[in-house]
Amino acid sequence: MREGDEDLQRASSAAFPHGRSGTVARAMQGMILLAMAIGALNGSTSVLVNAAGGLAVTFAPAALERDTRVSMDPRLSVWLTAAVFLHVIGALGLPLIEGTLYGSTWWWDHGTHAASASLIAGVGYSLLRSVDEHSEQVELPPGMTFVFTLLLVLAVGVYWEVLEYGIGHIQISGESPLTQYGIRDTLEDLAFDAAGGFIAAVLGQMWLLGSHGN
Amino acid sequence: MADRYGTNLTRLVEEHPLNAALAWGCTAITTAIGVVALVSGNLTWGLTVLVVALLASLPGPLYGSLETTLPWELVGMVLIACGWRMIEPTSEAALFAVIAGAAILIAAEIHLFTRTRLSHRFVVALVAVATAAVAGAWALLSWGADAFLGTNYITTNAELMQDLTVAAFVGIIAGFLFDVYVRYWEGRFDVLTPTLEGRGDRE
Repeated sequence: MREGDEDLQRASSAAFPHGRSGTVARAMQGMILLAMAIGALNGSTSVLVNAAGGLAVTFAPAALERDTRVSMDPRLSVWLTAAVFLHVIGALGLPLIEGTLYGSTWWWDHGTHAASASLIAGVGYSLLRSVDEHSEQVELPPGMTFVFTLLLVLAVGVYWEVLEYGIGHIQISGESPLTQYGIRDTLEDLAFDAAGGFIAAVLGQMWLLGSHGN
Repeated sequence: MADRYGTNLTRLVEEHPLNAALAWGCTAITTAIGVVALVSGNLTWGLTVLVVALLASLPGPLYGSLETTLPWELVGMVLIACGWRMIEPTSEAALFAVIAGAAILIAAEIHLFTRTRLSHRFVVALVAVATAAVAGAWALLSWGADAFLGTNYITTNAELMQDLTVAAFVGIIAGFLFDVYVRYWEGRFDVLTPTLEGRGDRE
């Protein structure tokens, strides 16, 4: 099969996920939608904004594949939906526990940061592979792809903290959608971003060297 | 020479006496700034500037011709950033401008001296990303030093966030400036030098 056909097939399978990964992704999107409704009913703008924003993000891979030649592994969209799901569930007040998972479970924030960072690494890695394949001018040996993936993960972590800091100054009906709890929180976020991204980049590297034998 | 990923960067190195003289002049002043900083006891900053000066002087020796250098405008921009930080030692914007400049030099040399090939658009994104990433990594290293070496680099969250914000924006601005520069300078020179491995496209 020609490379282009394969790309096209992969693109369509991500835009219309089917099989087990599609069902899992749809189920999590449904629960995020439910969280959005709960946020609206409880009058919690923070939950509403995070769930709505998150839900929009889960549709990004399909949109990206439709509009560009970049093709993504369908598993990436499940991974993405899972990261958003963990974030939204953490911000939601749940029965049986006091307050939210972010507030009551000390490692929840670390977990979501590591999960999102591994996702950024996965997406970044796929983008770099695709640029390497599609551009005649760009050639990226595996070692460079690894380094660039790590840089991207750290940078996105920094952009996220900057965004969080900026949004922390915006109040919507008395509460802010995202909060920074202080210097320790910022640095721990960055540390878990780096760790999650590093692990994902190493796994990606091992997969690449294993399957392409470079 | 250009596709949708941008302009080919092979021409980032050129062999031209006037360009070489200007580039070496800028490199010499940068080195002087580094040495002065070292002598006055500012170790980290002094070493950073000397590394930048070293990056700027690499192509000549590697090509075996001192008349082969990076475009003097690039070396000059990095010198301006170093000078800015020297005049305003507390300016984080100046510091990250130096880091972004170093990122451009490193990207150009990765393209010229390794198997990796980069387009100019790729470098624009890389410079923005690398500058923010260095700020993040630096914050983590400082935090580690504060915890284990008893230093006191990081004080308040507001200050840390200001540094990260400045780094994020300076990286993006530096990428933009590089983009403007490459567009302006594309096709300005006739003298081309292939990449070291000779795989660069020579027109």
